[in-house]
Amino acid sequence: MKDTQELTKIIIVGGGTAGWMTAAAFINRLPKNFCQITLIESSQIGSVGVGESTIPHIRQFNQNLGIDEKTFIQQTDASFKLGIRFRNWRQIGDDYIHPFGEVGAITNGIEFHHYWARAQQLGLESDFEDFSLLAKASRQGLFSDPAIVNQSQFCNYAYSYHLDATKFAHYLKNYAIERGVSHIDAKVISVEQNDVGDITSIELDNDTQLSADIFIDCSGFSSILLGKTLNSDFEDWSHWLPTNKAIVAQSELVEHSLPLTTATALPAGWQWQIPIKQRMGNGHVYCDSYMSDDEAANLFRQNIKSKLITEPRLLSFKAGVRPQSWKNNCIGIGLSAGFLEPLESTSIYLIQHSIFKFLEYFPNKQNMQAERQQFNDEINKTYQTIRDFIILHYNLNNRDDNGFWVHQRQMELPESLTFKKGLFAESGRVKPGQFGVWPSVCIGQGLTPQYPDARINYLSKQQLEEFLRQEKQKIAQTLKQLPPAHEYLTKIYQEVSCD
Amino acid sequence: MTNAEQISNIVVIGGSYKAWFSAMVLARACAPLSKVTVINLPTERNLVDLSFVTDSQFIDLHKNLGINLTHLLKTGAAQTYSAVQYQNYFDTENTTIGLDLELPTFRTIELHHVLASSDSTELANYSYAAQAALNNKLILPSGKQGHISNSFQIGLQMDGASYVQFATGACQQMGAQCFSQEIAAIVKDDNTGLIKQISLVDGTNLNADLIIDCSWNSRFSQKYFSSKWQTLAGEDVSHTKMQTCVQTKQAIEQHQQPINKHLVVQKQTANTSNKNTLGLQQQFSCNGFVVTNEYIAESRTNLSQNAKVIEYQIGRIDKVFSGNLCSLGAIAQFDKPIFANSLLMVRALTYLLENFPNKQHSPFNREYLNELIEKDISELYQFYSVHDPELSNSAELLVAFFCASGRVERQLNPIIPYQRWINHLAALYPAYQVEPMVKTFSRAEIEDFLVSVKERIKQL
Ligand SMILES: Cc1cc2nc3c(=O)[nH]c(=O)nc-3n(C[C@H](O)[C@H](O)[C@H](O)COP(=O)(O)OP(=O)(O)OC[C@H]3O[C@@H](n4cnc5c(N)ncnc54)[C@H](O)[C@@H]3O)c2cc1C
Repeated sequence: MKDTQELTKIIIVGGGTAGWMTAAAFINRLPKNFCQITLIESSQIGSVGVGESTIPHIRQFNQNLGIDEKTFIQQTDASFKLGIRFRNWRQIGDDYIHPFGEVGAITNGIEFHHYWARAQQLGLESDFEDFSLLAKASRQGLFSDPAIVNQSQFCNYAYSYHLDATKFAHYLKNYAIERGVSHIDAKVISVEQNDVGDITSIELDNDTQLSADIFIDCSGFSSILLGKTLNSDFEDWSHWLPTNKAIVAQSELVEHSLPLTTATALPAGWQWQIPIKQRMGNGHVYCDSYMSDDEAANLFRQNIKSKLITEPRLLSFKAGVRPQSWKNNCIGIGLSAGFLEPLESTSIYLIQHSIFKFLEYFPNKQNMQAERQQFNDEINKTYQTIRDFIILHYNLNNRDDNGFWVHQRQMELPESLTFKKGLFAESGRVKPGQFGVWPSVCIGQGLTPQYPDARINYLSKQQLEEFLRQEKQKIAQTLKQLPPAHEYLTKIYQEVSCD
Repeated sequence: MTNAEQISNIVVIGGSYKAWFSAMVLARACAPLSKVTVINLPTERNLVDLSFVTDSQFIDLHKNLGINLTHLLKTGAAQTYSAVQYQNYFDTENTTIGLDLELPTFRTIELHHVLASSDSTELANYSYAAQAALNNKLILPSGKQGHISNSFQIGLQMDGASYVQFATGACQQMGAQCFSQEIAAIVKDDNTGLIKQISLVDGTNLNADLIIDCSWNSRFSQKYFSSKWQTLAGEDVSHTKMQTCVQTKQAIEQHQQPINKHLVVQKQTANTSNKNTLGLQQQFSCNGFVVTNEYIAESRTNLSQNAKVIEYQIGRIDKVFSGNLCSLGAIAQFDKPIFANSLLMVRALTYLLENFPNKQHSPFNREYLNELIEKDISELYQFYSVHDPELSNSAELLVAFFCASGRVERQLNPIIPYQRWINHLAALYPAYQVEPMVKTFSRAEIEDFLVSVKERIKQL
C-alpha cells in the first residue's frame, strides 16, 4: 500500500436540490472529522425550484441517510407515486400507465409480456395494463405500505414520492447543517486555478476567498465551475430531445389526487401534473421551434382546471450532458453536469447516482485520474441509457397534428436506441440495465413483439387464457387489501403532527 | 409465432463433453417442440475423455434442468473445489484464491482495503472458501442470506468420459438421436442463406433449423458464414501458432486419496522454450492440461502414461452466432484455462435458451446474442490480459483504476464475479492504493476486526 494523502476540504457550490443532497449524503457517509464540507449558495440567485416527481431510488437515498419516511413526507409535503400516466402520446385519446416495477409475474424464467404477446397472437385480446398491480391501484387511487400486502409477488412493490422541491432542499439543508456542514450565503464571483487547471480557490462577493481540495459544482444551469471555469464540453442532444422550454406554475388541488404523475402530450411537447399534499405542480414542456411562448402559455393555462397559486414562470434548457462531469478536481452534480427533460422524473435520480458513485470512488488527493475516468464512463452510460428511454416515448407515435410529432417519429435515432427498439419489436427482449419498464412503454405506445419467447409456444390457447385469468385474479385480490391513497397519506400526516 | 416459425430441428455437432452437455441442455429445455440430433464426428472421439473444470454456473444450469449436485458429482466422477491455487503465477510461489462472492466488510469498507493497512497481507486468510479448501474440507454454500458461509461459489473438476456417458444417456432418454459419422455435405437455402440440411456419408439427410457447432476445430462458421478466427484481442490471426498441451488422466476414477478441495493451476516454463520467440503460451503446457489436480497419483504424472497431447489455437471467433449456426466451446474461444474455461460456453448456452431464436433467425435477436457473448469474451480477455503482461492489455483502465484506488467497477452480470476480480488484482498488484476512509480507523480497531473474521472462519 502506498502512503495516501487524504482530501481535507470539500466545497459545494449551489444550494438547490443537488447541492443539499450532496452535502447531506457526504456528511452522512464520510467518517466523522474526515474532511471539512462547506456549501456556498446565493440567495440572490435562488434555485430552479422545480423537480417534484421522483422515482423509487429516492427511497434508497433516504434509507442510506437514515431518514425516517414519515418525517420526510411531512417535511416535504410529499404524496405517493406508483408510476406515470401517459395521455395522448401514441395518438390523441390514448392513455396508458408506466408503472414502477414489472408488469405480471416472471413465470418459468420468462417475462410476462411474452405470454401476453403470444396470447394476443392467438386472439386473446386484453389490456396489458390490467396485469400491473401498480397501474390498477394508481388508477383506482389506492396505496399502502407494500409490507401489508398478503401476496408474495407484490409485498415488496416499488413506489416513490411527489414532493415540494424547495421544502426537500430545506429539509436536507437542516439535516446537513445539524451534522456539521458549514453554510455560506454568498455569490461566487471568481475562481482561481493552478497551472494544471485544478481549482485552488474561489472568491465570494463578501470579500472572502476559500480554498479546497475538491469542488462540487451544483450551481445549476449556470455551471460556474465545471462549464464556465473548466470549459468541460457540453454534448448537445437537442436534435433528439428538442424540447427547450417549460412554463411552470402551481395550482390548487381540487380533488383527491391519484398516486401518479400525469404527462399529457400536447402539439409541441407535453404537460405534467404532479400532485403533492395540498397543491398541484404543473408544467408545459415544449419546443419553441414548433410553438411560440404565448401559444404555449395559453395552452398551459387552458389545461389547468383549478386556480393558479403561483405566477407562471418560463424556464429554458437544452438537452445534453458534459461527458466529463468530473474534470480536474471539480465534479458537476445536477443541472451543472447535464439535463434530460423531466418526462421520466430522472434528474433527482441522476443526482443521487452521481453522489453515490463519487462516494464509492472517493479519491486521494494526489492522483484522481483513474477514478475520474471511471466515474465519467459510468455516469455517461447512465445518461445515455435514460436519454434513449425518453426519446423512445416521443418516437413511438402516430400523431400528425404537428410537425413536432412527425419529426420525432421520423428522425434518425441514436444507434443504441435503434437496436433496443428493434430488439423489442422483433423478440420482446430487453437488455439488462435498460432504464425503465420497457414493455410498459413499448406496448403502451403500440409496439408489440413479433416473436415472443419460443419457450411458451407449447402453451395452448386455453392454457394461456387460464394463465392470464389467474394473473388478473391475483391482482384483483391484492387490490382489495389496499386503502385509498389519500386516506393512507392523511393518516401519516396526522400521526406525525400528533408526535 | 406460428409453428412455421418455430425451430423444430436442432443439430449439435461434436463428441466431447461440450457437445453432449449442449445437446442434453437443449433436449431438456426445448422438448417437445424441437428435436435434437447429435452428429458425433469420428474425429472427435479422441476428445471424449478429456477431464474438465467447471464453475458454479455449470452446476446451476444442471439444477435448472432438474439435475442436482449430488447426481452431478456421481455422474461426472466429480470433485468440488472452492478455491484455486495458483503456482508460480504471482509474486509468491503459491497464491490461493477463494471462489468468494463477497468477503467480510469493516464498516462498509471492503476487506482488501482494510487488509492493506494492516500487517496481514493475504486475502485468502480471510476467505472461508479458501481456508476450507486449504484445510481439505468439503463445503457447500449454506444458503443463509448474507452469511459468511454462503458468500462463495463452488466449481467442479469432472471426469470427461463419465460425464459424456451420463449426458449421452440423458439425451437418449429425451429422444435425441445420435449419428456417429462424418458430414458429407451441408446445404444452404438460397433465399435465406441459412443452413437447411446436413447430409451424412451414409446418405442420411438431416433437416436443420439451428446448428450448434461444438466440434474441436471443424470451424463450420468460417466455412459457411465467412466468420473469422481472430486473436483474443480481436486482431488478425495469422501470427498465432498452434499450441500443444498435455492432459493426463485423472486418478479420481480410482478414488485415490487424499483429495484436495482446491484446484491447482501451474504456470510452467519449459526450460527449452525461448520466451521471445515461442510466446508465453508455451509456458502453459503442463501435465493435467494446464489444470493439474493434486490428487493425480505420482506415477501417473509421468507424461508417457495415459497422457494425451492436444493441439489448440489460442483465439476466438469474431461472431459466435452466424446465420443459424452457433459455435460453442473451444471453437468459439480458447485460451489457457487459468480458471474454468467452460464458463463461457455455459453462459452462451444460457443466453441462447433465454433468447431462443425463431426459425427465420431474426437479425436483432442474433445480434443481441452476439453482444451478450461478446461482452463475456471481452471481460474474459481482460481477465487474461491482467495476468499476462505479454498479451495486449485490454484492461488498462481497469488496472489503472485498481492501482489508484483499489476499486473495480461493479458490472451487471459479470462473467468474473466482482470479488474474484478483486482477489486476483490484489494478488497481482499488491501495491494498490486504499480507500482514504480506512485511515480514519485505528490500527487496533482494524486488527480486532481481522482477528474476529479469522475466528469466525475457524469456528465454521
Ligand atoms: C422544467 C423542469 C422540470 C423538472 N422536473 C423534474 C422532476 O419532476 N423530477 C426530477 O427529478 N427532476 C426534475 N427536474 C430537474 C430538477 O429540477 C433538478 O435536477 C434539481 O432541481 C437540481 O437542480 P440543481 O440543484 O442542479 O440546480 P438549481 O436548483 O438551479 O440550484 C443551483 C444553485 O446554485 C446556486 N448558484 C448558482 N450560481 C451561483 C454563484 N455564482 N454563487 C453561488 N451560488 C450559485 C444557486 O443559488 C442555487 O442554490 C426538472 C427540471 C426542469 C427544468
